[in-house]
Amino acid sequence: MTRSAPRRSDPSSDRGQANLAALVVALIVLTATVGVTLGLAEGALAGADRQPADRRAAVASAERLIAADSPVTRRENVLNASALDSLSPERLVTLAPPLRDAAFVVRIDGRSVVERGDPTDGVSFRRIALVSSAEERTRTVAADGAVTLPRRTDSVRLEFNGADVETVRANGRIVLHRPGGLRGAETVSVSRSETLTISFDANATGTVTVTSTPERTRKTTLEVRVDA
Amino acid sequence: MTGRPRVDASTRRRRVDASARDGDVRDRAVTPIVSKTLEIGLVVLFVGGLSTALFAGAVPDYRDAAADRVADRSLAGAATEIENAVPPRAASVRVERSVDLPATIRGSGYRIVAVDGRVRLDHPNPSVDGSLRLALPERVASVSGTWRSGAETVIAVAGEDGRLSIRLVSR
Repeated sequence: MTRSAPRRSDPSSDRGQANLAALVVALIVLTATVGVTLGLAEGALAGADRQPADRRAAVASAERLIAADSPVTRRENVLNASALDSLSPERLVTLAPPLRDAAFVVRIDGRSVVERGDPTDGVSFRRIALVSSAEERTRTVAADGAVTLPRRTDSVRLEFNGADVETVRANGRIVLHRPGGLRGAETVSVSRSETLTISFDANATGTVTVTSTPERTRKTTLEVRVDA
Repeated sequence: MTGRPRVDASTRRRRVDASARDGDVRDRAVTPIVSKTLEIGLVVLFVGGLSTALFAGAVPDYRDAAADRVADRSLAGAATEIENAVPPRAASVRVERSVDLPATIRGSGYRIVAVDGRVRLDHPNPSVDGSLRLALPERVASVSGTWRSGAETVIAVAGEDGRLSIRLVSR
């Protein structure tokens, strides 16, 4: 009897402790779950960040670079190789204001053309463009024959020193004519979309210097990477 | 707390058996009440503390962060739409183009304002804002106007070549 009293009270107090301990463990587990949930939410939020401002800056800058009225293009989507070489970061920022206060790099076929800062963490945008390079080709032509230019060009310069020529035809159309004979040098704009044959009038004598600027284009990948 | 019944029982055990038993019985009757009260108190404290931590700290922070992301995207989208609305060269142009914007960000309306070649997002919540520079051709002379979210938002481009004006109109 005397022994049984404490023995009986023991299980009841043990039970009380067990309940409390279980509750505390449950609350700790719940707290841990909430903590893990918050961590997952944080991760989801961080993963959803697509840096829209950087992306927009990269896309807009690439669009401005290859626009028809850009200082580094010959026409839309055709970049001018020599103008690209002289492009400075300041001129690019004037052309594409979103690049102000940002680190950026413009690459053509992986080769850096303009660079400012270190945009490693930024967003890059790639697109296909053409790069054209034009160089002058000069040939001397006998005025009693005709010449077909091997590559297409958009303008031809003719020098008539040491020649007696009244009329110049491009693909049969008269582009220059002077009854007393042409003098000095003349530049003729021609179509780039057809192969050009230059001929002279039947009585022409001497030699004419013909200078054309054929354009060579190659496909490249234009990449703009921006980190604001 | 749980030690008390045992201490009482050991001190009174030898003197009066009956009273010891009585005390034991009383203590045993009290123990569940104490333990339940403790449990209820703990749970109430826990729920209160967790609610405070979540709804006064974490949740508003996340709402602000998410709203800022949405604002950034909306602004970037609006700027892209404005840039794409510029028509090719022509002697005289008149273009209208409607733009979709989220009606509300973080539960309230906002405005997109175009000033000095930039677009700015104005929101009543100070943690949500943004400003972007526009990349426009030289032939665009001015960008102005305001978009109110929820209204019908339209870009109106008009003018002669070389002096285009872009207006953000909400109807």
